[in-house]
Amino acid sequence: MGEEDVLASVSKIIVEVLDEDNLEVTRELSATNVEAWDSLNHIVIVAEVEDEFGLNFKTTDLLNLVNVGDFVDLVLKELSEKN
Amino acid sequence: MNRQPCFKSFQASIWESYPQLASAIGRMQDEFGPDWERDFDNFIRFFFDSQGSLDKAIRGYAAFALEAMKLQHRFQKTRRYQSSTFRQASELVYNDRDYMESLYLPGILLSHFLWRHHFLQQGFFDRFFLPEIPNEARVFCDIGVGTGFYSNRLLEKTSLEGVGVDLNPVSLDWAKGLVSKSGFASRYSAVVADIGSEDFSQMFEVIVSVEVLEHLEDPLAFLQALHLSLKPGGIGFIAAAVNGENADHIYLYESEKAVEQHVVAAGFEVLHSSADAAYTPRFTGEIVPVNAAFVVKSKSI
Repeated sequence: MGEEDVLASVSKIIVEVLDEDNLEVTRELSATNVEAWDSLNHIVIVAEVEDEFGLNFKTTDLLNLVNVGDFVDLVLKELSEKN
Repeated sequence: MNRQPCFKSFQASIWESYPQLASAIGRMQDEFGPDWERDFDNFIRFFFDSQGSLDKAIRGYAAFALEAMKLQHRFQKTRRYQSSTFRQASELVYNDRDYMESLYLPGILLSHFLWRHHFLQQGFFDRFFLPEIPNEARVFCDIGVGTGFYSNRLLEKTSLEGVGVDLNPVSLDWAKGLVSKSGFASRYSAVVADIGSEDFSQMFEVIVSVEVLEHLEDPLAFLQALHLSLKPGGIGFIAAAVNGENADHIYLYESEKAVEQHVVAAGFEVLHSSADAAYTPRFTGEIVPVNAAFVVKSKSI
C-alpha cells in the first residue's frame, strides 16, 4: 500500500470522526488548524486508524506526531515492519 | 534564555508540541474561569525551576493522557480493565523507574489542573474535608502518596505534621521532593510500608487516601486496614476512580455507589461525598471516568 492510499484512508477517518465534510486533509494539516480536533477526537482517530490497518501504535510514537503527514509516515513504517 | 515557567509558557509549549491536548486548557478556562488559571499559574511558578523541567513534565503528561485515553477508548468496548493483578500493574508501571519519573508521576501532577474531575476533587477536599479536621489533631497520614500532591496540600493549608506511606519508593521520593520545594520538609516524613501488614500498628487523627482503591486487588481489605489506622474521633478523605481505565487500574468500580458500599462496609461513616465526571458524555452510552470522593469518620466513636 502506497502513501497516497494511506493518506486517503486516514483522511476519510479524520473527516468522519471530526464530522467535517468540507475539511481538506493534507499532509500539513494538524490539530492546530481544526477546532473539533480535540484530545478525545484525536484518540478516536488513532483508534480508527489502528483498526483500519491492524496496527497498535506505541505512545512514544504518537507523541512525536505533529501533522497528518507524520501520521501517514508512521502508518507506512508500521505496515512495512509488520510485513 | 531560561525563561521563568508560568501558565503562559505552559500554554505556548503545549500548543506547539501537543495541539490535540491543548483544547483541555480552553475547556478548563471556560468552566472554572480566572481562578483556575491563577491557581495553575501559581503552581507552575512554584514547582518548576525552569522551562526545561516544565517541558519535560508536559511531555510526561502528554504520554500519560494519550495512554489513558487510548485505554479508555478500549474500555468503552470491553467494559473491563486491561490489568487485573497487582503484579501486572507493577510490571507495566511501578517497577519501571524511568516510566514512573518521566511519564506517570509528571502526568498525574499536571492532571490535577488539566483534568476536570481531578481539579474538582481539590475543591471538594478544601471545602468539605479541611473544615472537618479536629482542632486538636496534630498528625495526618497519606496512604498511597502518588505525587505527594495531597500531602503537600494538607501541609500548606493546616498546621499538621504528616507521614506519607507507600509501597513504592519512587512515589515517596517525589512526594518528599514536592513537600521540600514548598518548605515543609521538617513537618513530613515518608516511609515504605504496607498498612495491611501486621507490622503496621500506628493510628492517626487524620488519614488521606486518594485514588488508591482502584490499584488494588482487594480494596475492601485495604479500607479495613485504613479504618484500623484511624483514631476514634478522627477524620478521613478517601477517593477512587470509577470507570476510569489506566495502565495500573485493577479493580473496576462501576459506580460511586459501589465505592461507598466498600467504604461503609470497612467501618467508616460518610459525612460528605462527591462524584465528578471527567467530561460530558458525547453520545448516549459513553462511559465517562468519574472520581468518587468521601469525607469519612470512624463509626466506632
